[in-house]
Amino acid sequence: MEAERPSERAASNHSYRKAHFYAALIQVLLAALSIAESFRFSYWDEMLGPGAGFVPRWLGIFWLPIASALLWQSRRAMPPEEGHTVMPEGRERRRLGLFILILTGLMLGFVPLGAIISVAAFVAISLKLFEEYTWRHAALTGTVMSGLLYLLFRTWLNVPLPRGILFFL
Amino acid sequence: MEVLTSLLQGFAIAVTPTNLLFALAGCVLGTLIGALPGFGPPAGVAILLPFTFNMPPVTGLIMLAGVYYGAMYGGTITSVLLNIPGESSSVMTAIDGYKMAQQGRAGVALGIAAVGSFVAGTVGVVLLMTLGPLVAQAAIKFGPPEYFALMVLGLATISGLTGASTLRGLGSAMFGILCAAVGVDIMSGQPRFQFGIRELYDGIEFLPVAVGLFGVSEVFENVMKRADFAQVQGVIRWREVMPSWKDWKAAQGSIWRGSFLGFATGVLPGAGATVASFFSYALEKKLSKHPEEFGQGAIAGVAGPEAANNSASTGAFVPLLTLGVPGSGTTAVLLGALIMYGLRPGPLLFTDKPDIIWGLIASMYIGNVMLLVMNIAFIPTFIWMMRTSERYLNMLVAILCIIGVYAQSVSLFDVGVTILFGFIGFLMRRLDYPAAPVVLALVLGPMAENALRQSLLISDKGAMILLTRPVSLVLLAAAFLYVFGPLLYGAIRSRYRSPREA
Repeated sequence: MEAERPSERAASNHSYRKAHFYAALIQVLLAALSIAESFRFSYWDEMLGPGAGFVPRWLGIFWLPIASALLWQSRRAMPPEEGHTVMPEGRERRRLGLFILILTGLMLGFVPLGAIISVAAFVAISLKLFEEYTWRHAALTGTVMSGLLYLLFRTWLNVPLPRGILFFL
Repeated sequence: MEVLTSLLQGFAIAVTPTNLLFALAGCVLGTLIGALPGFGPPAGVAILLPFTFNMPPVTGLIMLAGVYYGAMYGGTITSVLLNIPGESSSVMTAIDGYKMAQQGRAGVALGIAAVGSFVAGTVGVVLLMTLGPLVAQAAIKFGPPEYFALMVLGLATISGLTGASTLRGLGSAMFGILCAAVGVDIMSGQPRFQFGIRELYDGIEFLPVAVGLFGVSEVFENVMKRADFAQVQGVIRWREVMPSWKDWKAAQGSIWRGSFLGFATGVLPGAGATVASFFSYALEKKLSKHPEEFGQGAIAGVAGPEAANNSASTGAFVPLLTLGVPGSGTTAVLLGALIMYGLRPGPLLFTDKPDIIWGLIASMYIGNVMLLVMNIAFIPTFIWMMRTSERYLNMLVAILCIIGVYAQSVSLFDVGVTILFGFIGFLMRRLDYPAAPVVLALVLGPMAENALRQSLLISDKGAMILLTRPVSLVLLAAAFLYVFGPLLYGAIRSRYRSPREA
């Protein structure tokens, strides 16, 4: 058990450094992209002064050394606390993944189904999956919550929420 | 005299029933946001911002400002009762506040924090009212080079002070500038970084980015673990919250010192409420005759930092309203709000829109009174609300984020951008990259680009115009020092140390 702990810590540190390396690498690429994009536009215009390529070029020039320094620093990056990982693992990852999935569902259903139905479904599914409600209880809470939110936003705050299949409301 | 007349006019605006109602709503929501661990003031302001677009700008600002300084009051509740700071500026309060709670003095800790916050909030508003017009008057003479330098300073300080590493802060700011550069260039009309995506033609909007980075990312972080407020007991009666004369005497010096120190810290770009509360705690411990009591339930350890964080939140309005340069994540979101209301933040705001500015300032007096009453008489109610909302909190915030962004643009693309930036914000948080510089750069980026272009156009010496005008030179030098000062200091220190060690 004692022998496992240092190796676990080393693995956690390694994955943390790797995440920092990739974050810095993405920045290097974005800085390079900014410089490359700047060459598509004029850098200086006799009449207007700095052209559309002026800011992207200087942005890339400033960002590149910063991103390179971050790339260099990533070799020594240490997690703020023991066991800290950038990407969640196990149960935490499942919960997060599920939530993002349901939230994307809410976004996709928001216009075609309408705000009332999509919000009710989102609340009911979330309560069932994350708070272990029974389906009946979750559906009831979802419907009440969605109805109240719709009333609040539509009638009081005049927020233009989509009606979707409940177009007659 | 002119200030008093303006303030009276401001009160006439602030006491209309609608404005009073929204000030109250802002204070209640702010207290809850401050009290709930995981949701900070920037998230609260960003999430509620889209719901204020149908209101007159002054009403919207009154509500959002109420959320901001209400959160400073609310942060104390979980710090004292649970040893879990509701937000970062309450970390210092938790040290002695929780000890006081363990000694059966939770009510006194909460009470003195509320009184301290009230005194500091009021002192802060008086100083804002006095200093604001003076700073605005001085800033009226600024030309494009000074504005550009000021924005660079704002970005440099927020990048340097909001995260664990200056380099990561700068990386965040660069990412924000890149986001700001997306879309049609206003001078030439050419679309940049569009990659054939029609929706990017107008650029990346501020709201989806702010709501995503501050609101959705916090939901993602919180959804992984279950909140537990079951151990918070709502047994505190209002009589226990009223500080005694002895408590007041022991705390009053700390409250006054915290008020002035907090305001001065809040005015500095990038410093903010958290830094102010740390400074105040250190100062109180240094000045105390019994420093050994700090960490064991010293009332000054609660009163000072609480006064400081509240006063700092008011102080942060000075650079925002007078210069149009925010110094923290929350004020960066408020700057975006001002622009979305069609206002032009900066020195002219005081002369062009006095009704809005003075209405806002007057509402802060009223808001502080509301918060004092709420935080003395309704602590058990807030605890009950926290416990009740626990299970629904994440989904409710997620729904508000989606509805808010959709309502503003009626575009599912923007909702998608919100979720995407929510995930980017989540990763940034886990990697210890600050999100505030991204939002600030997104707001200031186009303004800075415009100011730089104007400066270069009017210059016959090219970029040297930025270094030959005294104010812009000083501001750029300050920005340079903010970023490179710590690095230079480290290098000099190691140079001096090495010969001795050798």
